[in-house]
Amino acid sequence: MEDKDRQNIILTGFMATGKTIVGRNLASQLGYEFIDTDEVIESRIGMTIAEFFKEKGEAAFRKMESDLARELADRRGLVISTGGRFMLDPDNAAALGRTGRVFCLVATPEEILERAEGDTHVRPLLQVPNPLENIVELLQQRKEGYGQFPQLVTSEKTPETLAGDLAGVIAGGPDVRLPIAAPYERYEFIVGGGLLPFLSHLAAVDGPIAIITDDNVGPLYAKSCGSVDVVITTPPGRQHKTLATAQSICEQLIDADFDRSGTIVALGGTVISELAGFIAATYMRGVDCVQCPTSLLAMVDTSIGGKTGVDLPQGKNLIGAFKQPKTVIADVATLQSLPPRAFASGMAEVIKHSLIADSDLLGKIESGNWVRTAGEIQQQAAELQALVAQAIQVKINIVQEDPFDHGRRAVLNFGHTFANAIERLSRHRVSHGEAVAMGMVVSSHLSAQLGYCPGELTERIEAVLTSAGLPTRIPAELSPDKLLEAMRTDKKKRAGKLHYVLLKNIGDVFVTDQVPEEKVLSTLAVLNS
Amino acid sequence: MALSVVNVELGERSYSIHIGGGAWDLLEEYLRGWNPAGRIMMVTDERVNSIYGRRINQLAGACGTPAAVVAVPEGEGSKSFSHLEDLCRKMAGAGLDRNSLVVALGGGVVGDLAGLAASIYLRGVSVVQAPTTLLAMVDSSTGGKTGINIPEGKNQVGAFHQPEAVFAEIDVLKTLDPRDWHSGMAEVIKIALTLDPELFEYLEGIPDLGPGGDVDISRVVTSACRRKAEIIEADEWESGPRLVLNFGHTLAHALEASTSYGEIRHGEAVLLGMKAAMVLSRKVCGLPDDQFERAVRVLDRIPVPPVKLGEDLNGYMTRDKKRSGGRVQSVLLDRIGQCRIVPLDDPGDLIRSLESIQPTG
Repeated sequence: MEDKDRQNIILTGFMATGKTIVGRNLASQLGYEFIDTDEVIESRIGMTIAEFFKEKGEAAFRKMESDLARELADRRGLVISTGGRFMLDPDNAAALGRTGRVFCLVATPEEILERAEGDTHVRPLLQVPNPLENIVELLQQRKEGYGQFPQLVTSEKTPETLAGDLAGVIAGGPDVRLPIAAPYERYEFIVGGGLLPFLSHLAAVDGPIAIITDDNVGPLYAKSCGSVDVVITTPPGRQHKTLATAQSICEQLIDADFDRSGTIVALGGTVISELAGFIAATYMRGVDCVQCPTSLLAMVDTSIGGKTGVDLPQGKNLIGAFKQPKTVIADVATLQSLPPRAFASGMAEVIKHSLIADSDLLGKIESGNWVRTAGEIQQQAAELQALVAQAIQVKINIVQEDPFDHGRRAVLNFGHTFANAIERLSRHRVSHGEAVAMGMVVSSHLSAQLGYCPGELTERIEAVLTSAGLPTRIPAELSPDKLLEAMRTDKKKRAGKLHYVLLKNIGDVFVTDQVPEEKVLSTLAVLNS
Repeated sequence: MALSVVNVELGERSYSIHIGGGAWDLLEEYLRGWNPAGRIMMVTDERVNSIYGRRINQLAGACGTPAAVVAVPEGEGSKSFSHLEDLCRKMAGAGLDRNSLVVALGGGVVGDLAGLAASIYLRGVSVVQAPTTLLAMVDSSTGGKTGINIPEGKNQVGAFHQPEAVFAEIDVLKTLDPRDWHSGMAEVIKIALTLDPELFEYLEGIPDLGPGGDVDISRVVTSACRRKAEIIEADEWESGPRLVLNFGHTLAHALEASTSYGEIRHGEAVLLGMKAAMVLSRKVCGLPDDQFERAVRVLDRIPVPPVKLGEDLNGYMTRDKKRSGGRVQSVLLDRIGQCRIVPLDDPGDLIRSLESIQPTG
């Protein structure tokens, strides 16, 4: 890659937050040139900055900085660590900001003091009777200046980890921001690599943050989310998506003095997304919610649309609320830890979106390699990012057309009439995504049998599902009769006739209740392996 | 007698409050006209059911498919997660679907619990409020606030869910416990003090505000509902003006929580909270002495049992959910009928104010 294609990475922040060491580390990880503005200036003036300050005064030093900013503005492929006040100058910030992305490293006053005392630099700011007080005051003064940049919290992290976080952001390419218009509000779906550390900046949160997550995801990512006030962890699994769990979380929120000015962050897969969204809808009659989906399924399916809820013994999602998130932050870096089967499950929904609305996306899936085997390094972050962005755009378009689920949104249920019955009858041994894959196969065969689409289409659909590591036949023990019966009970709860989403072509689906039962049974019989 | 009607204009969520003797006859008509495809559930409490069971069954029978009737135990204890879940399960068991209707027939507890259940069942089904206490008529049944308590605080979990209609049957107030009557009257005085000087003057002219006294209760309920409707129209989601309805409530919620809900009625707690707020209003907002005295004279007409102020009151107030930016927001009066929201540096001021005006244990 040419240098001119490579955006600069500029690090700012208070002294002793680790700009130089993190920057140097990042540069070597990325193979970029590293520049420390203080070092460059010192080498030019042939003395330390402290000496220069004494001899020529601060104005002369600031002039050196602005000259350097203009000079660096013409170069690319750099990691630049800047002096503590360098980027607080609007002209410098504008000059360098155009060349790439700026990140601000942050630490607590105590950490700053501890780190500063541990290194060999002469720090004039600390040559005062009460250095800690001085730091607190300066941080307060510069709060707004630093606050304009994405914040990376450095507490309890090694320079290597921090450099890794930043490298993740760069690998994902520029964040993709997809606007969503919901009833009464608008929000953004942001997809990128390594976004979690910048969560509060991306979602423009200013107030306490409570993360709700589970025992699988929490230990991996809760600490990556910048500075948060409370982390509440629940046992993983759908069986915990209950009112009892909701109660326990609400009690923990109260105990943490979490109030209406706060924001709930849903960090996890679909269960957490729906559970935490429900709590955000009802805790103190509603607080802000940011969705941070960490599974492919949650990213392309449950994180938008505002449907939240918990289960009752009588059925899934019988209790819930519509709660639009403030922002959705899909960090594809979290997909790295997703087990192969869960990744494939998410791919089922991605394929569904391509089948109902986007043949270009289908082509992309067909030409790529989307099977994940255990231990394998994942697809390029940029590739995953583009896939998620394109898949979610399908859902965004449909949900915007039908925010309250009154009509058009039903096409999102392609394959689901069958899938829900398969999932339930198998007692969830078949995962949701696997069931959706089977359901889509049934729907396409049914469409072909009724003469709506050519038989070749069913072959194409089966092939793409297989290439994503998904099943295309129904387990033998789930007989056609039992499945139809289960579909009828599902439906009874919604008081109506069985509706099917059928396919005429890629991107051309429709909803109908005019399907003879014997056709359904015979199709199921063919696909029962 | 003709019913009076107060309309609440909230666009597609607009509805009417029907007030008077015979409101339940209108409710019966309403239920008869409900979409027969949707099963109806009537939620009440055991006390109301023991007095009005026959009438409730009549109402249930008027529905296309006879309504299911559920009676929860009387009292604040029913506003819990476990009762909420139980009620939702019964709704699923009775086959309620998106065409269904929930009728909340009872006091504030029934209205809040059934309202929340209706709000979250299948992500929201319709609800009609049929308040049976004075407090519920003038306060909780209108405005869409629903909620339950958790041990750490009152109404900490809930939703905004506007009813399809409100039917306030004045005749049932005959059987109201006198303490509950006074509790409701406290909320009436709250509305008069904060929003309706005319209503205040009317109340001032009536020496006995008790159940057997001379109050024209239909008139009072109608005025209170009209004022409340105006406030809700201006601020459906409680982001600003609606906070005035919390006059006296900061201390009240803490009092209720520190007595574990039950020893003191909501309205009684509000009455004490208002007394404290009056003292503070004089001090902080310059409420004129003569207005202070007039207000206190009316407040003193409502009897309150002796209360002990627990040491945990301060903590409960700091947890009050109206807190924003870390400070407790309190509603205080500039004059009768005119109030504003004042952030309190020290919520303990409210406790000390109460101690200065009310003998406490």
